[in-house]
Amino acid sequence: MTVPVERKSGNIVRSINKFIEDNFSTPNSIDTNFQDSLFDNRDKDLWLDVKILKHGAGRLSETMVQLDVYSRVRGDEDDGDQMGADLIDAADKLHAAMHVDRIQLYDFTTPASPTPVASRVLMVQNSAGKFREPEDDTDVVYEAGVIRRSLTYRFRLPSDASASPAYYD
Amino acid sequence: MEVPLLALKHNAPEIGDKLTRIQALIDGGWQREVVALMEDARKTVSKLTPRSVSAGGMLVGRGKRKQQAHLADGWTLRTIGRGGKDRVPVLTVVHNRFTHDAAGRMKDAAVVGERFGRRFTLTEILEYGTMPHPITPRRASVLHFFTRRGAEVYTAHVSHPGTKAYAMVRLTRVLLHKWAAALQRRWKKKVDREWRK
Repeated sequence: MTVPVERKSGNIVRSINKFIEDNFSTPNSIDTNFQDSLFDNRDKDLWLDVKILKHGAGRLSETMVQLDVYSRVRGDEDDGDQMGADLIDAADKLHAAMHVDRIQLYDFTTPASPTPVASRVLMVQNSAGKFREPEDDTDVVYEAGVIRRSLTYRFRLPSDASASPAYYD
Repeated sequence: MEVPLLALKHNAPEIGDKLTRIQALIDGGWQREVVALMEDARKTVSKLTPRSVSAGGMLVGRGKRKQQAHLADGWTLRTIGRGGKDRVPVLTVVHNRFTHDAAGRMKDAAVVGERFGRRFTLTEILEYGTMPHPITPRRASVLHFFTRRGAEVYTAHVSHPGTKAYAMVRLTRVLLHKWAAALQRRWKKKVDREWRK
């Protein structure tokens, strides 16, 4: 028995990545790193790092993703983001981008040309039940030369949210 | 001629009886189950916290009481308002006693650094992870440590590959919300049943 395309973890996280790239990274010229340990940030002043914390959407659970916005802080004489204004702006844009009712699911069987799965979407809903809101939003400041805002989002399929379904339709 | 008065028969004693029975039900089970739920949360967050296999963990305590311990062993359940006669639990908190107190304040001895006027402990580092970063000596001229295989190393610079974000608190919080919602549904049914008796 094969797992339906909308319940495959690979399709789910790639659809989330695609959504972020389409709605946040490109229009704002912010480079996005999707779990790439070799991502080179040395010449970047502002970037987004995406970490998958948990795979669970499509299996009566949830997919949790941590979105880290980094902003470079240099010495006083340089034009770095000492006051954190760029970071705040970028985090607000990210929050606005994620403030959606639904995220389209794609089938990544052919990774270069993903096809939308008809009437299959992901919902952004935190564990307190609020839609379109992050699970967690924290300033993380322990890395040298950068400041970070860490937003955690929880994604579910509508079928995951139903009380106790015997089957996925 | 009709008597000029208004009368309404009320069922206050019956309602009082029902409320007394519901109160007994809550005292007997609900509070115990809430504390048990938080104990499950403590076990879960402890399980999700990584344990170093090579080292004995971190140094905790002061003076002669200083000892090696894993951060995962520090998760503690603290129930406020429990124990004394007629006292009921009003707040149950799970905190890591090695790094924070029950009110969420960092312990001075657990602070591993400070940047931009903000301090941090190992708990924050493991929760949110770190990006790859260099490590250089602060108080000495070189770094000195033993590798996992026991080799002694002196070096002026280490390129740390970064730490994974374990998200132990956030993942437990999501589970806790689910468990609490299920408990609430179960108890709503119990209270409804008692009310209809």
